Amino acid sequence: MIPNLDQLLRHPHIWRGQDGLKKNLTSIGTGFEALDTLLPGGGWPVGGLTQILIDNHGIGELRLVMPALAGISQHHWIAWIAPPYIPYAPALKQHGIQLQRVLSVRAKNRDDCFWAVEQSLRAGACMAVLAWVDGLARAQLRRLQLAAETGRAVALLFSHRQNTSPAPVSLRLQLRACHQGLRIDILKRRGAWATGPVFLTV
Amino acid sequence: MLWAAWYFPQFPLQIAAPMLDAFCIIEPDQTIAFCNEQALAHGIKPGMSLASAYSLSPTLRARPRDTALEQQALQQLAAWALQFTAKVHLADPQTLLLEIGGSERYFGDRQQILDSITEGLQGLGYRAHYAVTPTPRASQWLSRNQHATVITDRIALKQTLDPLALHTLPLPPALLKRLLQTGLRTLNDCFMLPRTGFAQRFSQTLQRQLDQALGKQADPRAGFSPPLQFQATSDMDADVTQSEALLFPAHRLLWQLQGFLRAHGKGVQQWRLLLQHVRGEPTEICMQTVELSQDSRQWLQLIQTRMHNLHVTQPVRALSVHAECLYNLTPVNASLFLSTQDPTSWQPWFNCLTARLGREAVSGLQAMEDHRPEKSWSTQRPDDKQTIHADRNGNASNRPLWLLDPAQPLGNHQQRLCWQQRHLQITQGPERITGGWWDGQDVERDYFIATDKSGVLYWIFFEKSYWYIHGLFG
Repeated sequence: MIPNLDQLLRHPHIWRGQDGLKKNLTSIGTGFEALDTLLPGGGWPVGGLTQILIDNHGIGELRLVMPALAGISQHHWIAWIAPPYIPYAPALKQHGIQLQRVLSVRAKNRDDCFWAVEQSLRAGACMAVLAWVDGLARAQLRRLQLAAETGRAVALLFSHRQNTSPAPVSLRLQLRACHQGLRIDILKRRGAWATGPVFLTV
Repeated sequence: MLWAAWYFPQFPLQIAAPMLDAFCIIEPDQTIAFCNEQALAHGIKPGMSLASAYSLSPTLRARPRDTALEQQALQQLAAWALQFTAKVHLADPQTLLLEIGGSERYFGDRQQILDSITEGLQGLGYRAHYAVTPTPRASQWLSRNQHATVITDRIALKQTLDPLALHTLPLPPALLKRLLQTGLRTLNDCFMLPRTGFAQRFSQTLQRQLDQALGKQADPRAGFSPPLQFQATSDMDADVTQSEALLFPAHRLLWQLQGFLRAHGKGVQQWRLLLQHVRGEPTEICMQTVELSQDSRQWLQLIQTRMHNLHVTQPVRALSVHAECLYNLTPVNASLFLSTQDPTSWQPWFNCLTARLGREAVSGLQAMEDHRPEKSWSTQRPDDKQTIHADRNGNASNRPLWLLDPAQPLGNHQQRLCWQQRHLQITQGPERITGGWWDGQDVERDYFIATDKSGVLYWIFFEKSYWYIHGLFG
């Protein structure tokens, strides 16, 4: 009986909750070990949407993603779409980002912004897309998710914290500043329950 | 040199949309110039007067001949044909001349290139006769008479030209009349006559053309150079209200666009399809592709998807395709293994973004060597090959990831600094930044790091007794 059961369990259509944080998901390490252990695949999901919920800009949301971006920018493009302020080049350089692979995109309205995110994710030329866009419909998020899968890109969407309705994203984090630095609640992750908080010094 | 001439006997009919009813094109003197098969079946023949044609078929539809439109259509065909050879010439009305000798190896062999042109023309909806000879003039003449003649040597050329009847050649009617009255019937009759006498008595031009046909005299032709934007129109003869019915003419126009782009090594990212209505503004459908493309199949798929949810509210009279922004399409060798991370493939992505958002909206970043924060960065055209400047700011102290440009003044509320109704509290500083005496924009600022209740880190400065916010630490 037991060999048969093993065989059955190895069938690709069988999914068990216990292999939730399985290691074969492609991802890029965040550079923060405490966070990596909680994320499926051990980092920012490649080919999936990550939604980062924040109250205010400037609490450390960029510093959280900098180590991963620094690695990506060595060989791949990074797109900043509709950033709320100017990404400050000398600071990016200090964090190890190769500036010649950074593309900053301004969009006049939400439609253009959504379009730019989708194109950038789908193009395959850029490996990380950072976008500041709020109020995307469910279907739009789904499209972005598919685009990220097609282009094998890391998609980081920064949204306002009020957007708490369920959304088709691979990973959803909520950030808050605290006296240790940054408090991260994982509201949604693939293959495991929501967890947190994690406290990081960024 | 091997010249292929393509003669379009029914050209004016073919540039009109395909018709199911009897249809004819009339000359200004109300005689029939061309008529379709349905009209022929009613007994209507070219040369007949329009009145007698109406008596044979009351439902006959007639349209006056538009030579300007014909010329335009022929130019579009010439532009399309440039994909097969660089030497394309417009000859007498309804003829295209292509030098194919140079392209034979590229396309395989002679027959293959002729077949692909024939197929292409059929796809565009044209039926044409061709003749291939070593001289352009002979090809031009033969294509009007015999279909698919291919001659490569001069002796055979003379033998083929000899029996050619004079009345089939595009000669001025008066000259033709004189020749026939003299008893000359074929080209051979002309070749037999003494040259000087023939030239004096009939026409210097004809004598030269005869020499050119045999290759005894040079026959220089003005090459066709196409316009660098594409525009093609297809007239619908009936008003079309169903969007599916627009697909055939759209396909034809897109195929022309593809040929045009291949000929120039160009690609388009954006093109417009205009639906002209009887009255009112035309409906414009703007199509964009992610990357530069010269693939009509891809466009047709796009347009098909688009047509599904397109409601044609008004009858469509004509369809036109416009492509203005042509970019050089550098052919990139396809990779043996599928690699989505090809670092060279960022240009299409970039082009696509700029095409929609505008060139100013998409930019790269660079750090500049300046102490003043607002001058220590700038935008630039993205280029991943740019040289990296020596890093002098590398050891500078902590800089914020977000910059506010220009710096915004901070409010003062109950003796506390505030910004957007948040009270700021200074935690670090000061750091003195001075500079700019050399360009008159002198700054002397004390920078501080401040925070608020929600934990946001601000980069603020004090200058000339005012406080400003210059960045967020992100």
